[in-house]
Amino acid sequence: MTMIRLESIAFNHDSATATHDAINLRKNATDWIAVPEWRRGVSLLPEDSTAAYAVKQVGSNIVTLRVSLSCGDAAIHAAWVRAVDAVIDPPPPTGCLGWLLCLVRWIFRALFGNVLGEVKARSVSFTAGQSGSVSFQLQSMKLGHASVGAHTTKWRWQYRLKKHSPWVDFQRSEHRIFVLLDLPTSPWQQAPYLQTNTQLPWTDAMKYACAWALGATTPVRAASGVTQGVYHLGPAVVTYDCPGGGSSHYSWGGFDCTAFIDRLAGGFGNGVYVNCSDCATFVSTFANILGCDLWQSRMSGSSGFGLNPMLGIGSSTWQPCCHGEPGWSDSFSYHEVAWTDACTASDRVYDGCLQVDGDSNPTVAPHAALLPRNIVFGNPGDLTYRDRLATPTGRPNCNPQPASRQRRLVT
Amino acid sequence: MHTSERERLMERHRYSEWAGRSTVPAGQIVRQLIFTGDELAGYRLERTQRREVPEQPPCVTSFWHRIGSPAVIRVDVFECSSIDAAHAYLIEALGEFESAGIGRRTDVRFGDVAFGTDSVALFARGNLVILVRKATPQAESVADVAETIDAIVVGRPRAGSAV
Repeated sequence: MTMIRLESIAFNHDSATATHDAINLRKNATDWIAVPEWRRGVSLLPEDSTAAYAVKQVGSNIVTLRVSLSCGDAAIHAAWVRAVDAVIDPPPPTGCLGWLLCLVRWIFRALFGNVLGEVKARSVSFTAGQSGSVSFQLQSMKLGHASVGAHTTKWRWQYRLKKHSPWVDFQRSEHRIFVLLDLPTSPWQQAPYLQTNTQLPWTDAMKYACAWALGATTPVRAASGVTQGVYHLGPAVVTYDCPGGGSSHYSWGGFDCTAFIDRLAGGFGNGVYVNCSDCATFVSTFANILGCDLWQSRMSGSSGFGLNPMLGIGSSTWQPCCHGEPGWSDSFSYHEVAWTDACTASDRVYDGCLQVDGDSNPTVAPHAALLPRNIVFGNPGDLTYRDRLATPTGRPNCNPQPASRQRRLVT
Repeated sequence: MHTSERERLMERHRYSEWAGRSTVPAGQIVRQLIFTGDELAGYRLERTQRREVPEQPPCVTSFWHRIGSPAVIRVDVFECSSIDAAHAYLIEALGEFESAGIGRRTDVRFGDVAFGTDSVALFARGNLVILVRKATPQAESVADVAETIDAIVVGRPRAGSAV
């Protein structure tokens, strides 16, 4: 009969900082993540106990949890408690196969396995069978060097009544731990930490962002991964809105992130069509939840600008966007991308809406598909983003519009 | 929207030719529009949502499933404070189209002023700006839906309409 029970575990026990604990989160626009995140009888699967850590904030700091325990034996007033990694790999076969299996396991653990290490043993006192909220330190933690991802931590909780007695298992707990590069940036917020604040980072969005940027250790790599993830949603999940003249379906008057996540999860969302503003919003908002710092910003001129052949999201045909479709004239009135810093010609763009021709002459075939990631916008003649997107005559009308830069709020 | 961008769009879409003109009396303002599902014959109302965000007119978005087909049409109705505000917002709305080929339509039977193609209809009627577009691939024009919605707004019965 187990005498000691785990009642709850709080990962985000200090909402004012993220240097020694997890960051402030919510699940989505309507659902809240209560702290403590793990509760006995409530949290059964890893996704029932979710937390996120910002690597840059944590650094080499000691990370702590707040744990509540109970004891059903009135004679016990104190015990030593710890948690060890519950995942034990069976011994691999010998030879090359064994070596290969070890390598695969190592990679799998690095990408998806336990990053929190173990819970360091400490003595816990019980008063009337309750420990109250007790601080535990993590040890053998890998957060300081972890890459972006959604990890699973499984702990085996153990106790012993005397310091040199054998440890006794009394509970298992499982947790979904998101690893972010840094604190999410706008539109995501960390304060006020209130249920009414819908701009707290959503784990429903984080799940996709972490999958797209899996393994990233820098903002450039994370944003590049998200850009690629968004672009590759076409044509199965979204496709460019040629019928509608390239109108915004998810980003008009704010980011309908709820509808986008519904679409990602296989629901209808707001339908299959997207435009550049939608894609710029997807890329920047999902990259920013990982700690990147991107804007949504436009380029335009005194009239529309002609387009080089491209592969619009969802299309496998090299042509100026929506070539030959009613309401189209092989030109954009504007274009919008995820953009760094001041969103000027010298700043860098991430475009999840289209692939440009990356060879020495982007105006004609043959074409070398290039998804714009961390490319300088540039000036005419630079053979950077502007030259690859717009025709030579269109380039003077394809100018950065930094006054348009924004970060749409999520709804 | 930045002032220079607005001015560019006003010039391109010849704002001065249609601004302030409406068949709806200036005092007739539509607010708190609600779709019940009976408005479009042959369509099932899948979802409707009212959104009120800062610096935008209130918007009622609805998705209509064409019965017997996978086709879904999206209708956004923006409730502006006046006819003038609706026409100003129409310019904002035109700025959300990435195509440089979206132009005015004078061959359609909806709106005080209308823009778009057979696949997308953006028009103003009274204090409302209405956007009808496809949410799934489909061959059919959206003009019938735009006409029906327009008829509802002006209180005019339309042949074939459930209203």
